Amino acid sequence: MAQVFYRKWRPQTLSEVVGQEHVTRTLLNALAGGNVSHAYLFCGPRGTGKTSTGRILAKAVNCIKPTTGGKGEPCNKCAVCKSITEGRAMDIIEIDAASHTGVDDVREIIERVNYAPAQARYKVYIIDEVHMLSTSASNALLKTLEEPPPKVIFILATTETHKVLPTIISRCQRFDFHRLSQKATEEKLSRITKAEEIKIVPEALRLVAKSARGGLRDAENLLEQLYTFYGADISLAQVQEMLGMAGDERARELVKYILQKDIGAGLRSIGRAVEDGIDLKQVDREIVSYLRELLLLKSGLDKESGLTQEEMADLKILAGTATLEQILRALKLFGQLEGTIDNDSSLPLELALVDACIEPVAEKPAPRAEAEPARAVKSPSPPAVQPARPASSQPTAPRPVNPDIPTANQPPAARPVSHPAETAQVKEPAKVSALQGAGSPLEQLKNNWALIIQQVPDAVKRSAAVAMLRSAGIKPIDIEGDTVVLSFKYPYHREKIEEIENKKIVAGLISKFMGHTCQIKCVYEPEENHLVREAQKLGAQIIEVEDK
Amino acid sequence: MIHIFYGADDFSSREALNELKMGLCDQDVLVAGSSRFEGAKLRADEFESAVQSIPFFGEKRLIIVDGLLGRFETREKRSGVKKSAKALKETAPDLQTQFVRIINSTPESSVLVLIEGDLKPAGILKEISPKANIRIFPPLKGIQLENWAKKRITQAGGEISDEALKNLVRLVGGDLWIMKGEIEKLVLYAGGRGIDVEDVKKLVGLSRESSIFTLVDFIIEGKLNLANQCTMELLETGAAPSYVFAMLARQLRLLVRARALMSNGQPDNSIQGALGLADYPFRKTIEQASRYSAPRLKVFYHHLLDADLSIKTGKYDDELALTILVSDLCTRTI
Repeated sequence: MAQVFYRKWRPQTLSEVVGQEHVTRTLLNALAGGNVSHAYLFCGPRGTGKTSTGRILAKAVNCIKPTTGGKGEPCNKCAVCKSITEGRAMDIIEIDAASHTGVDDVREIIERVNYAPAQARYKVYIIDEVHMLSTSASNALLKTLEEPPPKVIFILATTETHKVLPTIISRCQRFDFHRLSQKATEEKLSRITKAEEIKIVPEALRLVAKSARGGLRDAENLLEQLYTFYGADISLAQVQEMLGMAGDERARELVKYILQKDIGAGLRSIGRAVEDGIDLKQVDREIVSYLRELLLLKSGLDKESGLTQEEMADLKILAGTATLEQILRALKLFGQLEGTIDNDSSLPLELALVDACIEPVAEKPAPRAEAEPARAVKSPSPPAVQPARPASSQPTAPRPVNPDIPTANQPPAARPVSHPAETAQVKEPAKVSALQGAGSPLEQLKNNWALIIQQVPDAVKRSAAVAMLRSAGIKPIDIEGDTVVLSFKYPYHREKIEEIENKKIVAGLISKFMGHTCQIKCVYEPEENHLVREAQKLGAQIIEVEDK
Repeated sequence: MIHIFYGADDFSSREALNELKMGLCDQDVLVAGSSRFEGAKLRADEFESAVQSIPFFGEKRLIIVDGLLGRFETREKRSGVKKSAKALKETAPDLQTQFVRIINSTPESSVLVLIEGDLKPAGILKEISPKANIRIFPPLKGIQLENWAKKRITQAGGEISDEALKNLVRLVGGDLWIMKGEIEKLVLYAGGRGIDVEDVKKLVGLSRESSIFTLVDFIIEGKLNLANQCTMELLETGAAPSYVFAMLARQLRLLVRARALMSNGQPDNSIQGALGLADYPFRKTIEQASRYSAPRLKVFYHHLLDADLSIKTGKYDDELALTILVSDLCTRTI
């Protein structure tokens, strides 16, 4: 049976390991000087060569080649090297810690570790995904790692170092494997294509390397998929098709229109993409990727990004025409479409385009007042719209910026802290004016409640919170200081609105109307019935409410 | 002979034990004539039997016990918390007396080594025979640590520049287990030439933690290009976006706590104790906490929460969320 590329082209010597020179050089020097450590920890993202390096090291220390055996690269020809390559060496024990997480599994290792190697010079334990070991299993392993029997080497590999016990890390020689650069991935792929007699244009190879994002195994797998599907002659269009890319300039064109704020041209471009049957999800992905490159370039980072010189020059020109805020705003708008977009409707893409092109209305200066309280105290000009406050709250005295963290050099802010995350959701100007008219704030809130729900900003119009406000009969019943009490007919809706994201949206809408930051409190009040009321007067209690 | 090695530097006490072993007798004979116990679970009869046994092959028997005396240090003394009834029963005074008696009656033919963590000199140690050889291993700091690292590098056949040495000590701190591993690695990588700053940056895994401080510094100063560059470097050197998020959140928590403690007028050593940080991270945290206003910390928190939510709800992929977070924090005006 034919082997898959990543196994067939797995490096067999340390010099063949790509992009990890700092690791291979150290290991080669250790082998040459006979200073091999008893425990290694290889950390790094997937597909960067951790397990391969572990196996090569296992071969290198056990190689029986007369001249350099055990003192350098493995020969890959002797019986020991061959048995390790073929995975039948008794003394090289590979353990997947993800499926052997318990203390019993580790105890088994510890029991066997004391037996001398059967054939090889060293017994090598390669424990993959070591971060998956339970705490007790890790502690059980610790003693053995600290003082292992002679002729035993532990090689631990993990993608998530921060989940490994610090004591385990400290007992090992730690090596951090880096993501492979695009150039290194391309070079390795190029060697494979030559050996496999695959014809592939450099642009296509570059795209394969780029899509792997530093993981060689992913790149090799993709190359093999292309080879299996399209044969030995691979074009750029085929790679784009395999990756589901639009394969034309549309995404870049759209980014250009966004940054030039040309809504008409942008909408026409989206319309053409729909007519041509292009996958809109992929268009969005490409827009996001392009905007991200633009953002990094704009912030002064023009490192290797997998673009040709011409593409880079275009990108630089485009970056020069836009502000950082503009790019960031567009990136956020298109970035969040990933889960919502479908090919039946281009509306989300069009809305994001229009949103990105329209200059956002400046946010309220409340956070500034909070950040610079000294200025706020010096010039206590009243806010444009004086918020009417309930009589009970009486916050006439200035409040500290943060009562939990008083600071010596910060005088108290002149107005309450605006909750940035809560108000951030509602950036568009509210059409319902803030409290100004007659009546108590609660009365005004109640009177305008339907209008508030009707005129929610577009950004949150499609949210679950607003949907519930519209249809679940939620209404304000009281105001306690800065907290508006909302009544719910059903506990389900109350629970949903109490979820952090929904609560933020509702609090934001109410804050906008009230003219100051409000919190919300959700209470469940089943619908009143005169019979129930009478029964309660006689001492009855509601034990269950059934839906009709 | 009784040896008591105690102190927070367990690496040095382990080295001292090895030296002691080497000086005793033939190592193969010693393996047969030595016993090792966990002090917390050791029974008095078991201990007595091991201590009083006559050596069979060699002249001496070696008995090593980890954490025996620490077992009798009342928890009240160590952490200010009262002991449970069960714990009191386990470490009843008569048991302590029993163990002290066994220790003090160690015959000449036995070498008893008690390896302990932090002990109070005024505690149980006073009851142990004055003949005992007591060695204290406090954690190494500052110039002592630098000298230790330099000596170790020289012993391994390497050389290091002063700046690289300072960087190494700053990054690794006082954990000599890690320091030993890093030194071995650096000496092997340098392969005979002197170790320089670049080698330390390239090879010392802990430099990532240091990069988080640098990233937070750039965010505070609003240096978007450097912050983005720092983030990209972290990702390219293999750090997962989730790791960067976790480290940013940790640093933020430390800043908030440091700020609260500072405003309560707590002295530096008390803040350091409360935060549980080594010298370098502590200095960086205090410096950053004094530069970050409370409202900005709050904004930082909300952005972090939004980023976390956006990843977990599938709004953004993790790398994009990180880019947006860093850009947002740097361009934020407050």
